[in-house]
Amino acid sequence: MTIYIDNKPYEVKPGANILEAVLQLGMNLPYFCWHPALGSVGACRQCAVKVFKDEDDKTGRLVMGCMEPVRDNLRLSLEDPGAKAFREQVIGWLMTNHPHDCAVCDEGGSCHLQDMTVMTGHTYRHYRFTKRTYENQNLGPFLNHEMNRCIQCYRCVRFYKDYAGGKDLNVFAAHNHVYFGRCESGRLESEFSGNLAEVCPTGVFTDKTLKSHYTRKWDMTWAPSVCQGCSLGCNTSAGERYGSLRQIANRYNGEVNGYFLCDRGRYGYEFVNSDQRILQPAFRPHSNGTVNKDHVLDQVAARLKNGRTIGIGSPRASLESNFALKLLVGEDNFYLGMSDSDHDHTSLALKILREGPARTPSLQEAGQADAVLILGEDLTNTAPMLALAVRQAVRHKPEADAMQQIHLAEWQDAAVREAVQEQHGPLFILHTVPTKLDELAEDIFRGAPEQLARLGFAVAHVLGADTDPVTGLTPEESALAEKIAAALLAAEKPLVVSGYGSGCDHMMKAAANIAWALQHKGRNPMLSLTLPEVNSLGLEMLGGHRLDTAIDVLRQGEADTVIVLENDLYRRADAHLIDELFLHAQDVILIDHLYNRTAEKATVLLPAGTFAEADGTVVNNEGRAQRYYQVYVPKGDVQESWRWCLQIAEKAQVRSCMGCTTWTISTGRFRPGCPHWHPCSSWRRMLTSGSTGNASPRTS
Amino acid sequence: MGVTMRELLEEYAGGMKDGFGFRGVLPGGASTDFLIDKHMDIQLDFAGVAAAGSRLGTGTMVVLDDQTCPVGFVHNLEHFFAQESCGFCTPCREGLPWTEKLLWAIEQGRGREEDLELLLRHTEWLGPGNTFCALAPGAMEPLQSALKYFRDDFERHIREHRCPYHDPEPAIPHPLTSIIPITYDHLHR
Repeated sequence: MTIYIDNKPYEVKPGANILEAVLQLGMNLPYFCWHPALGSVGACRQCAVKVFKDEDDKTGRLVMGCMEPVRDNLRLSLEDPGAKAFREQVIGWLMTNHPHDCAVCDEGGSCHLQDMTVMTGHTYRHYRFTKRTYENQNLGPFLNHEMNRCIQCYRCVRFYKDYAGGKDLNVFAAHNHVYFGRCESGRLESEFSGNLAEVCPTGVFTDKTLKSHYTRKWDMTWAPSVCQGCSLGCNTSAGERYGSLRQIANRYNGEVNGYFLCDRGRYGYEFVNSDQRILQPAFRPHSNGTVNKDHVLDQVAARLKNGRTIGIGSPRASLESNFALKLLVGEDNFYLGMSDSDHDHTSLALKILREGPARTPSLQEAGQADAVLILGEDLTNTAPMLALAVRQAVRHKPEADAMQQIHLAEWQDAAVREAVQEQHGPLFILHTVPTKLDELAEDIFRGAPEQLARLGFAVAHVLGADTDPVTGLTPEESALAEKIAAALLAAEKPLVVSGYGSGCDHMMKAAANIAWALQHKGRNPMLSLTLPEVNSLGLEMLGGHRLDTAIDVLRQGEADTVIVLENDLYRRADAHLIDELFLHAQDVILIDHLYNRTAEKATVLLPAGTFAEADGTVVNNEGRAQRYYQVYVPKGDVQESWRWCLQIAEKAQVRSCMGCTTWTISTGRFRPGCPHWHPCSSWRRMLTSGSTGNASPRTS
Repeated sequence: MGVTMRELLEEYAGGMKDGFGFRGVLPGGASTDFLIDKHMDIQLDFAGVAAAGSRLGTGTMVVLDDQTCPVGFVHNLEHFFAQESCGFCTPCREGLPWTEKLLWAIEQGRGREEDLELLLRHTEWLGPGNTFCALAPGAMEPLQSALKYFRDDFERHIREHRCPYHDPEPAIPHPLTSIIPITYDHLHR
């Protein structure tokens, strides 16, 4: 449709509000309380524009852009002097109480209020009276609280309570003393609390971890990165200064994480700066003095030449690093560094994704589901952002129902939530223990993993899956199976979620059967499977032998040297088995970042670069390959794991690695001719996503 | 309904008390515009009052006599409205306390020339549609009409650096009185 902005026609999509349309056209209209993920509430009055009845109407009236839907032939003005004066005055009003903190405020330089103030042209504070002040609270280790800076946009509580389901952040009092905080000081309980720092347009909520090594945003060097915390692969921006990692911020990805991150991803970066980092190559027991890197490489190469070496990869290391190790030791000698149960789950997940008809949704698509079954997962812990997506999913059915009676745009956030109240769409949670999502569920079933899996198979059977019927169900279980099946069948976008969380293979098989049965019935089901680590799926696709066979090989004397890539083996198998591994291996060469139990027992330590110090590719639980980039060049002899592998290969003159240069690895060009790489033709969604080369990304 | 203002005030209410003259009345409660002498013969119904530029509102008549300072009168109202603001939208939440503080400064003899212009702009900015609800527009009604009908009183406060109603002798203005901020937080909790 056509709208006229200052008498010029523009084509806009129907359904949007004026503010959205204007921003999409690349024009400047200031705003505070509107947020693309949170919709409009019309609180701040900053986005005021003049709308006119027709061409002859010269006065017009002021409306709030975020609350006004576009319509065909709408005439509005951004440049109207009355509208501009009003917008400038809104900043003026905010400045009556806003402290003169810019010089010392953390937010300065990445502050939405600063940007909007400049946008309106407000430069002089006419207010000469006193400002209202507040007492701050200690909200825990992640967020700093400075309420004097608040402009009462309400975004914090709308995100924290409405979007993320948090309970302990609220709005108190009234008039110009409105207060956003907890009932009393205390750690914020939500796993998504960190997003408050980005959602808050001022410096009320700021990153406390950044504060401990503060630097201005414009002094940081940023690189696109990927969170290493779980298998969802949310996109981040990592900021560094002077060779230390300072902050992780959200990097918008319209298919994965959108505007938000979980706290684990946002705040779990300090290990990069830890004093427990392995920074020098070393022989164990410690040799005195510093060890020369070339000397270490020579020694390692000698061991490779003279003995038989196996390599153990890692589900937390990049594809490039795992591949380089596999090249170095050879396909027969490459072992997955996953626990055997993790490997079983991941290979089953891979099989399901490759062979099954149901598709894996992106995180954003999962949030669009209108009926959800969670089978054996506590998403808040295994895949937090998927839990956040499920929170949005359960709004869709009641919203659609409400919209039959009341016609509201979906961005009219306050009105829509008012219409829906506390209603939720169908969500069924079958798990062994209580989860935070239980409060949203229509039905919760608690049982042992095998019991839950049987119930899952029963649901699949009701849906017509070609499997044997499940016997021995209680009447309650049978009724629940029928109910779940009916709800999923009635939905337009049903979502089935399962994964490794219960440690039970049958759970995933049951989930797959349910999805496939729905598919056969002509529905469009989505199947989401969580995986243990950031690159579990990538490592599984690369392929390797089971860890327990590695110990056998050493036990039988068929190998004597082990190269371990970014892994603590004591986390992968029982301690006595790993003790045996160390007993039988002559040399264990560990390439890793932090001292751990394996590092204590390894004979050679090679310092590996973390995600901030190395480029890499990881594959998320959908099969989406995503690249993260080196944020800064690491100190001393720390370098990318794959670089260590290739340098060892060069010294040891490993034939299979000839021609495979560091450039080849770093640019991800795994040569098809290389015998150890099997490109998988049935990979779904091999996409490289996310933006590259952002100098200083906007975070609010 | 339908009696004239004059009838209501003089016959039914018994007229102004001895020694007090009539200056104006808020016909429908705190959030309505003043009606003055020239409106005495309008009919007190919704249409009649609206035609005179005010609102019948709640029908609560608040009379301003000639011994009461209009600035203080309006300040009291704006103090009320500033406190009653819910705090959701910016113009009301931040604008009402500002008008209140301006009025208090004027009443205390610390008003400035530009303050009246600022108060007038507020009555325009806090109009219907510009705020989230009608509280702020209502708050502006007595202020807007006071500035219209009692402007001389406001100007006298500013010129003489005092309230002529409370301070009978003109003060010798100290050059600094209008710029030293006096905190009055005891009034604004």
